[in-house]
Amino acid sequence: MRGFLVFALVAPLLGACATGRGPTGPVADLRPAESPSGNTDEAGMWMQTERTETRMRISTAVVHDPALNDYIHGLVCRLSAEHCAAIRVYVVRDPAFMASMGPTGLLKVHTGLLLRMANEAQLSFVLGHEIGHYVRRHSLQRWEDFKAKSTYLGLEAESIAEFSRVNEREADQIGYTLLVKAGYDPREAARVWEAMLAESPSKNPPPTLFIGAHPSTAERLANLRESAATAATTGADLRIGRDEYLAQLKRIRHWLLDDEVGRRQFKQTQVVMRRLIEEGDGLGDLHFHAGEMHRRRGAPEDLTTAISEYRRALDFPDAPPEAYRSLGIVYARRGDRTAARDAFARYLEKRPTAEDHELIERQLADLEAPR
Amino acid sequence: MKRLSALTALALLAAGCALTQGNYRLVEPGVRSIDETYRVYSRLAWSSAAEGKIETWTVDGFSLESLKFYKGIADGETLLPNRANDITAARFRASMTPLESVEFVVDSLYGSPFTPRSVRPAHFGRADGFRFEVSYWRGDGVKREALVTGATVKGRLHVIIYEGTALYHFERYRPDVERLLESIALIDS
Repeated sequence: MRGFLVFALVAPLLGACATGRGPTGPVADLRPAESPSGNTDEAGMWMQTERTETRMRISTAVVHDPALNDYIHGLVCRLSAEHCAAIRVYVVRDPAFMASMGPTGLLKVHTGLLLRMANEAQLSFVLGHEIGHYVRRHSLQRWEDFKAKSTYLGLEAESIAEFSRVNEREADQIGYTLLVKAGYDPREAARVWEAMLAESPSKNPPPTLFIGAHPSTAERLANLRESAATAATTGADLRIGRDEYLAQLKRIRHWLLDDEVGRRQFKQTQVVMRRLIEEGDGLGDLHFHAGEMHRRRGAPEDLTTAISEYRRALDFPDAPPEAYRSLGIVYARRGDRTAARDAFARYLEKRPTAEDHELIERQLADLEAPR
Repeated sequence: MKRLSALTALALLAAGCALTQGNYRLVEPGVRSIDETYRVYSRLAWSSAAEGKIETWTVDGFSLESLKFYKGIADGETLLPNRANDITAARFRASMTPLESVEFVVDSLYGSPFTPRSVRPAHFGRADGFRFEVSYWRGDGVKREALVTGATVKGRLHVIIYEGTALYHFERYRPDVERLLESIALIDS
């Protein structure tokens, strides 16, 4: 969801309201399949975005998983049948909590967002938010606002930020409306922001032009909770889509977790892991990665926690054999040679042809040698 | 005025070239000492540039292939000097086993999307070290291959990485690099 943040970063420079009115006049909503023509700022912005998309088609950072792409694109169509043909989904392998929409309908969903969404309804709210930016042509509006407020003395930063905040509130509102219209549980929208707020390193980030360009997470959370409180959430057959969502994520969740641990943003990762563990699916893999996070952080108390996480992981059938390998490393580090040897031996039993089996065998031999 | 600007530009360009040339030196074939810790024998001539604890050699150009020497990473240091102040960066511990050193190098340079292959023990001169290979892509989308070897010597990590474009350059100089790695000899102090 920091995609909202990135969007604010890029939009004023490149060129993404409650009234549908830009600073220089009314901006009509984008009609289905409409594209700008002629020598206009908007046509220029589209050209730049098309170049970006050309590079993305061959980028190795893009996850080429047709089933996942079809699934996400299907959600876009469920939310906005009239615009779905014009929106292209790219899943970007990047552990950041982020999604973004270009003016042409180039929708980027980062894998860090996929890891953090608990269900289809939450992802749909984010997609709906991005569709809101697209339909309302916020890129064009912000570009025009940026031009109008740039002076020889610099930028009217606060004014530009306020305009962006209006865009973001509107995109939230559109996302929420599309979510409800598509039959999802509206309470899930607020849960997206709850997750972000819990993960935020500082509950009150310092105001800057770009961070200030977004309404505060707390404000957005309050707005969505208020909307959900007034919506009919009982009696109706509201969709959440957790099973469907997890079925899609199952194929990739192991490496999503690898990437999350690899960020080495341990405080945030700890919050994410705790929440995923509470949700209760794939616990073997989750406890293994919680162990990995503690082992990588490596403070003395982390090693004890890492061991208990690996041990817990091994109680579940989906624990990866690498849990034994990591246990071996931690035991060896603590000087427990017997436990380290047993753990490495179990790893090699489970993965006799692992890419690192020769190095493990060497370490086993060292552990077995008399001291 | 225009003429003056052109002259100034030329002068700046010349100064830039001189500065750039000054950063490189020729490494003739023969025995070379690295960080006064070990010696290698190279049968090729290389262009070399150094920055902090990293010395980089190349034959055809740094973006095509390179042989990097990470020299004597001490306890608590990052592999890349530009991450030294980054509290999230992985840091070397002198007590790391070769298995952990591999993880440290992979974490520091490649990240989770790229999985090392053929991770195995390897001699680094007389020292027990490690070796692995990895394929990866940079932002330019060109696939690269890397061969990594290293060891902890006197509490400091020494790593040598040979990498090049998968299409051509990596294989072109690999036999020479293999010979160079076989020639590693620790310097007694």
